Order: sequence, then C-alpha cells, then structure tokens
Amino acid sequence: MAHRNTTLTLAAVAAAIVIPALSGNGYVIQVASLAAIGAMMAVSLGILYGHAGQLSFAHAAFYGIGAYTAVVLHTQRGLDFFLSLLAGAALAGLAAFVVGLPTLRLRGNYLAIATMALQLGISEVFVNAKITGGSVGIFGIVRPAVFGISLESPAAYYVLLALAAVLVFALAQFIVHSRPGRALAAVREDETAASVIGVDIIRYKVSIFTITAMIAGLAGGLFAYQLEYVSPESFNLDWSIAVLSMVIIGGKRSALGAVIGAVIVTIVTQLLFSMGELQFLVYGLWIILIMLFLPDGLVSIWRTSYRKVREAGS
Amino acid sequence: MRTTPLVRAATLRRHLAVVTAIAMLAFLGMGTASQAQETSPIRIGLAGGLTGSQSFLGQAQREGVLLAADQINAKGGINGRKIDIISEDDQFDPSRAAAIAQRFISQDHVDAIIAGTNTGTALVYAKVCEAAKVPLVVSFASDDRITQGKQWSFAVDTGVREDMEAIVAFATQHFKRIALTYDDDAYGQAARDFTLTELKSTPITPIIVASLPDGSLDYGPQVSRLQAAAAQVVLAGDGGSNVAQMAKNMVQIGYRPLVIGPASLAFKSMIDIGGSAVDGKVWFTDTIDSSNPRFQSFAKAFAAKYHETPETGFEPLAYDSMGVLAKAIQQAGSTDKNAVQAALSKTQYAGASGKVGTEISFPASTHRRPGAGITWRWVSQGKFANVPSSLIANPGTLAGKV
Amino acid sequence: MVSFVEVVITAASFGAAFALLALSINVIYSTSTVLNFAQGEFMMLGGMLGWAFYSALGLPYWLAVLLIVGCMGLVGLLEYSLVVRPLLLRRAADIAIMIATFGAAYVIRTATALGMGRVERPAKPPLGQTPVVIGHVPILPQSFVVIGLTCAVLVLAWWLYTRTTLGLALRAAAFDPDGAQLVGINVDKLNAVTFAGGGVLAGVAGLLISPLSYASPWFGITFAISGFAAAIVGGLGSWPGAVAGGIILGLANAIMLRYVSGQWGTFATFALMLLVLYVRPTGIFGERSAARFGTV
Repeated sequence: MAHRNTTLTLAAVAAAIVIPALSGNGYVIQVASLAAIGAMMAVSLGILYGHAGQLSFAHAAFYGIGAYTAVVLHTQRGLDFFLSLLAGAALAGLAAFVVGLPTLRLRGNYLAIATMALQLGISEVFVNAKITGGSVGIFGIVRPAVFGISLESPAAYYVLLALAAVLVFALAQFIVHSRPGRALAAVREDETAASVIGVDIIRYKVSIFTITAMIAGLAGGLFAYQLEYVSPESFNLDWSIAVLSMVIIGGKRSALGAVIGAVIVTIVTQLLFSMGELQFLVYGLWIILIMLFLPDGLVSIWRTSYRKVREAGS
Repeated sequence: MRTTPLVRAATLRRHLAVVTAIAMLAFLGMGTASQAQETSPIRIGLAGGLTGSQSFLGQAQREGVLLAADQINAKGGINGRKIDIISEDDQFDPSRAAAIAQRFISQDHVDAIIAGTNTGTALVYAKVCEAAKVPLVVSFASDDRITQGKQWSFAVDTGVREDMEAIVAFATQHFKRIALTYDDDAYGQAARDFTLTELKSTPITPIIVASLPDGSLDYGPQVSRLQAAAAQVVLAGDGGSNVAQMAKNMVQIGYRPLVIGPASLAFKSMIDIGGSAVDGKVWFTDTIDSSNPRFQSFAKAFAAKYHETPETGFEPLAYDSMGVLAKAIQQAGSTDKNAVQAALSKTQYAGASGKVGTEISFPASTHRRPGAGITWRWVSQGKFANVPSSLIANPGTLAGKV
Repeated sequence: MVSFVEVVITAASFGAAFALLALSINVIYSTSTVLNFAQGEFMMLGGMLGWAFYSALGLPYWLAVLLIVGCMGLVGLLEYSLVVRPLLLRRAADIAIMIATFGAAYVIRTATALGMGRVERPAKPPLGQTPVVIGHVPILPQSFVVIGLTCAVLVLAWWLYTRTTLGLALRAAAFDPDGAQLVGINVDKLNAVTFAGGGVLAGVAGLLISPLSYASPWFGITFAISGFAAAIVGGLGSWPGAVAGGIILGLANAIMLRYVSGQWGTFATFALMLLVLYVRPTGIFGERSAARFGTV
C-alpha cells in the first residue's frame, strides 16, 4: 500500500513537471510556472500560519527582496545564479529576523500588524530606491544557464521552478516533523503549557519566521527570472493576501494543502480575469466562506471522506 | 479508528497528484481554437487595466478600440474578414499581463495584440510579443524604453518625453522660479527624470522637487514647501486626482501658481475632485485637437455609440490603435504576421488623435509615433478645453500672487 | 511660522479623524480581541455615503449624518453577525477571525465600487471652502468641523464608557470576558454593540475627512493601515492611546513631508510604528492593559 502510494506520488510529481513542460503551449507553461511559484509561497506561509500559528503580511515584501537581490547580483553584477538566489533568500531572512525579534515576543496579532507595516514600508522602498529602478523596475533580464544548460525557454525554466517547488515541499515536511517543528505545533496549541515544558518559544518562533521568509525570498528570485521583469507592482500587499488565500483555501495544516491551494487559486484567478470588479467580490466571499465552513481548507474534505470510506470498509 | 498522519499524508499526496494532473490536462484542452483561415474573423487580443482606481484608462482603451472595430465590421471588415476583439483585464499587473499575452498567443491564436495601459504591463507585452513574433500596438503607455530596439511593438502615443520637452520649453521661456512635482508610479517618475534632464540644458534649476504619492489625502505639506520657495510655476508629472488635490491645497492657503503637466492630467477625476480649484489654473499638453476633422467625425461616432463626448486624448489614441492596425492588415493583404509587421513598420496613418497634418508612423529607431503636435488644454468652467492663444503667448498674468 | 501653524492644523484635522478610526478599532478590540480589518472600509464607506447623501442627493447635513450613523451601525452589525460571531462562538483563533474580516473588507470595497461607481468623488464640506483667516493663518472651516466633532464624539464616548451601565459592562468584559459572562453580562450582545459602535465611529471619521480631500472606494486599505498604525502607536486597546496615536502620526507625517523630505513621508509612518513595537510594544498608553494582552 505504502509502496503503491510512493510510486503514484512520484509518478504524479513527474507528470506535473513533464506534461506542462512538453505541452509546447506557452499559456500552460506560464500558468504552471505561476502555480509552482505560488506553491512555494503558500508552503512557506502555510508553515508559519498553519504550524506556528503566526501570520505574515510581508511575504510579498520578502519575495520582492529576493527578486531584486537576485537580479541585481546575477544580471547586473554577474554573480553566479544560484548564489544570487541564496543571497536574496538570506536578505529576506534578515529583514524577517529584524521585525520578528520584537513582535514575536508579543502574544496574538502583533506580528500580523507589524508585517503589514513592513510590507508597505518595503513597497515604498522598492518604488523610490535607485537600485530597484523605481516604479519602472528592472527589465531586460534574461533567464540563466545553469551547469551548461540554458534555461532561456519558458519550458526549461518551468522544470527548474517545479524542482524548486518539490525541494521546498520536502523542506517543509522536514521542518514540520523535526523536533522544533513539533514543538511549534505545541506552542500553537497552548503557549503557556509549551513554555512550561521547556520550549524556547521565542527562539522557535523567530527561527520559523526567518526560514519561511527565506523561502519567500528564494521564490521571489526564481519569479524574477520567470517574468524577466521586476517592478514594485509584483511585490505589493495584494500578493501577500493572494498567498494567504492559497493557504486557507487549500488547508493550513499541511504543505500539501498549501500546494493544492496554490494550484487552485492560480487557475481560478485566470478564469476570473474577465469578470471585472466582481472577481474581488468572489475573492472576499470565498475567504469568508472558507473561514466559516471549512477552516482547514479543501484538503479537510478529502480527509473526512477518506476516513468515512475507510470506516465503512473496515 | 483514526488514520496515522503518515498514511494520511501519503494518500493525500496521491490525491494531489490526481488534482494537479487533471488541472493541467484541463488547461491543455482549454480553448484550443482552430488556426485562422482566410474567411474566419481576424482575432485581436485587447488587454488593459479594467479594474481598480485607474480603470477608466482600460475603459477608454476598450471604448475606442471597439468603436473602430464596429465601424470597420459595418463596412464589411478587412479584406472581407470581420474583426473579433477578445478583451481581457490585466489589472495593470505585469505577471497577469504575461499570462494574458501567452493565452492570446497560444490559446486564442490572435493575429495581433493591442495593449499597454501602463508602463509595467506594456514592457511585458512587448517582451512576449517579441519572442512570439506577434504584432503589438501599444495604446497609451508612453515610456520610450517599451518599444526601443523591438521589431514587433509599435506605440501610437508620442511619449512623455515630447510632452515634457514642450512643457519645459514653455515654462523656462516665461518663468524663472520653477518647481517640479511627480507621483510615484512609473509614468510620474519617468516624467520627473525627463524634466530634470531637459532642465539641465537651460540656465534654470528647479527650486523644489517634491513627490505627491498616490492615495495621499493631503498635499498640504508639499504645497507649503512650494509656497515657501515662491515657485511661480509647478511642473506636475502626476495623475489627475493628485493634481486636483494639490490645487485644492493651494487654494486653501491662497497660493495660486500655474500648474502644468503632461497628458496624464487629462483624467475626468481631476475636474470632479478639483472643482473650481483647477479651473484656469491647471494646463496640460494633450494629443487631442478638436479642429482636426478626423477627430470631429470620431467624436460624433463616439457620442452616438456611448452617449458621451470624448474630452481627452485617450479615446482617440485607442481608436487609432485599432485603425492603424486595421490599415496594416489591409495593406499586408492577409494576417500573415511578418507581412503585418512590415506594413506597420512603414505605415503612414492619419488618425483622430494628434494635430491636423500629423500622421502616425513608426521610425525604425524608436517604433514610436514621433510628434503628434502639442495642444495646450486646461479646465474651463468644469470642462476640458483648449487654452486661448492669447494666454499661451502671455501666461504671466496667470501665475497669480506668489 | 504661518506655514508651520497651517501645516500643523491641517495635520491635526487628519490626525483627529484617524484618532476616531483608531478608537473604533480599540472599541471592538477591547471586548472581543478581534482586529477588524474591515474598519478601513467602514471609514471609506462613511466618506462615500457622505458624498451620496450630502453632495449628490443634497440632503441636509444633519440628516446625512443621521443616515450615515444608521447605515454604518447596520454594516458593523452585519459584519459581526454574519462573519465574526460564528467564529467567536466556535472559539476560532484570533488570526482566523482577522483573516475573515479581510474577506469582509474585500466584499465591502467591491460592493461600494460596484454600487456607487469606482471613481473618486468630491465631498462637499458643510461650511464651505473659503478659508477662515485667524492671525494670518488660513484655516479651512472643515478643519473646525473635524476637530470639533471629534472632540464631541470623544466626550460622548468617555461619558458612555465611564458613567453608564453599558460602559461598566464594556469595561468588565474587556477586563475579563469569562468573568463578565459569569456575573450575567451578555458578552455576545456587547460585542454586537461594539461592532455597531465601531462602524459608526469609523463611518463618521470617513464622513469628516472626505471634504478635506475626496471620497474614493479605493481608500479603505490606506485608512486601515493608518488606523492600525495609530492604534499600535497609542497602545492597542487603550482609548486615550487611540487619540494620542492618531494625532502623533498625523503630525509626524506632515512635518516629515514639509521639513525633511518630500519623498519619504509615508515611510515615516511605518518606521514609527515599527520603532514603537521595538521600544514599547504595548504603545504609549498601553501599560495598564499590558497584562491583559500578555507580553511574554
């Protein structure tokens, strides 16, 4: 049973990578790429929100920091592509660390508000700074070649994005099942009890916040080379909220839910384009309805029905 | 019995596999339109920002393009083929623009694209169209860098540079104390940079450079700075609502300099918000020329279709975007993309936008219309109108008390 | 000097309106610990309704005010009963409720844009546009309206809070919701009252502020951020803190723009907020309530 699952999973992951890449259809590749980037973001925010019980509205800002850093270091300064991605992730993590340190000492929603201030403040920097190219941003970016393989075609680059998403997914599973990960879940359930049993709450919270910001930074760097254009419009509060909606729609309790949420939101958003202003009404309503009726997201439907099937069968 | 988390995760992963695969396949199957044939309609992808606070730009673009398409279809289409417009909302967002452009090209198999209601999306459309070799007509976006060095993109507006050159020349001719404001979008920052470059070649340096961020409620502090520096004229690379609010702040403290800006001020909201504060005191350059007979017949058709008078340069520019593309397709004799690209490259099109006698053409070096001729416009009694020529010759009386 | 006074008075008018918004945030927060992100949209809606009733329909100002009070109370109540109450009853996490209010914000914003037009609207000031000159300083009459009405509302709020049974119940619920329930206070009803009251306060703030600039269906998010910034700086949950926070932020922003940089003014707001979170996380007036909000 377990073997069959593993095989099926691997086959599915391979299919999700290969089918769009070989489709030869620019639109499918584009949407699949956006979904892969969304999945990385949603997995990152999912760990923070679903697992550590904290909320960040600055994920788009971390993503932007990663994007600009990667472009400035690789395209403009000629640093190795992967090193520039890592540098972007590191800078994003640093920003998170600086904001997380004071606010994660406080109980409740302070991180949410502080990160919202951070998001808007950093957006302002993106718009006004010289190095970011101001509101026009930076264009003329060309996708890199890595290990001698050119990733210039969107299909080839999509394979890189999908592999990165798989890597981020695996990292999330590792974090969640690690000792600090389990401790964080304990913190989420009961902060006082967790501190009594000797969990260093603040250290764990700050670490997880920093790590998830680094993942967002990595996703941002990858995004910059997907679109081959960076500008502040791509890194604003709307994107932070879109990622949040992926997490809650898919399900905040598992990385899997985040991935499903990312795929669904990316595709549905494409379908809603032509609805005009109404799409935002739909957007607001589905957030409310999910919070009210499906607090653990769409994966909870699978879970429940799967359990029912099992129970009926046994 | 509860399942263990690990078993659950494995099962869920399998479900994910199914979901993702189905989603991808559904996408592959979507809208696989047949390739265009000689009698099938000509497909034009039209994209712009149709939602949010700037949505009137996308609306103006759509209205102008649809009017032109209707007129062409009523006359039997181009070479016997009707025009089919596929309109999308990119929300001014570059990454949405990328997806829309790809969809137009790979799913809808469009013959050409009209788009570009802001700089960021226009850069993306131009990039995608260049790679896919699809002709693109950029309607409004006015940054030179969008079409520079591109083969497949053609911009029908003259560009912020030309506006700002005229504005700086006019301001430095008549005034000594010049200030500069700009809003923080790509257009505003480009206007600021061109103005500063342009001013460098004159003996005048701007006494204040201040930003009017979008969505601010009050520009009182900035206006107070302008007043303290006794600016006679304020060059405004801003949107209409920003300038309206700034003019209100100026009225409040009894400081009435002349405010001059590019075509971005030609937003209806400037009159709505500014009211009497903008009347006579805010000038801008526009590509609209009401003495142009082509504009007059366009305006008549526009009013008949939409029960509204076009008062800004945006609607005629959109109308011309469709017009210039239609003419190129006609000259090419087919929708063959290389032929259309070649026809656009050497087109000479007299449209509804711009001064009488000017034509839309796309020089190889810029791929942007060179010079539509500047018309000075202002707000007079709550309406956009031409500035009387006597005032243009001698605007000093308007600078008010300083 | 004249320009300084002028800048300060205008900034104080905006500060006063944001003090009202911060107060409305705190009113809701202190009994239910819900951070309601729809508050910014309430304020936006107050401004748009002000335009509709007073500028467009030409109703008398007092009637427009009454109608807005009624409408906004209803909107607050609707948000509470449809979105927040079910989650509170389920004892959902604070963050989950906050996300749901985000959804409510989207719904309110879009419904307003669809129902009343998605363009900016001019809001007519009730006392006209002509500035009153006091000792060479031109002041818009609307500044007096904003500051005067804000003071009146604050006095009324203070009276309600300290001198009435309702106020006593609110304070009890804020101090210890479970204890309040035990002594027979209906916390659910109180929450409903605070949401209605929060809607009214934010709506009035929007009504007051829009003639100084304009009304727009897109202002909600800007309002929300400024209101939360003011509430944080003053101290989340503290009523006097809200007033102080609003005024401080209004002044800081204006002075920054006027005397330091024409570019980084809004950045100052966020920087100040982060600074306060660093140095004094409970805000300027937050000390008394520190235990309740539980610093670790």
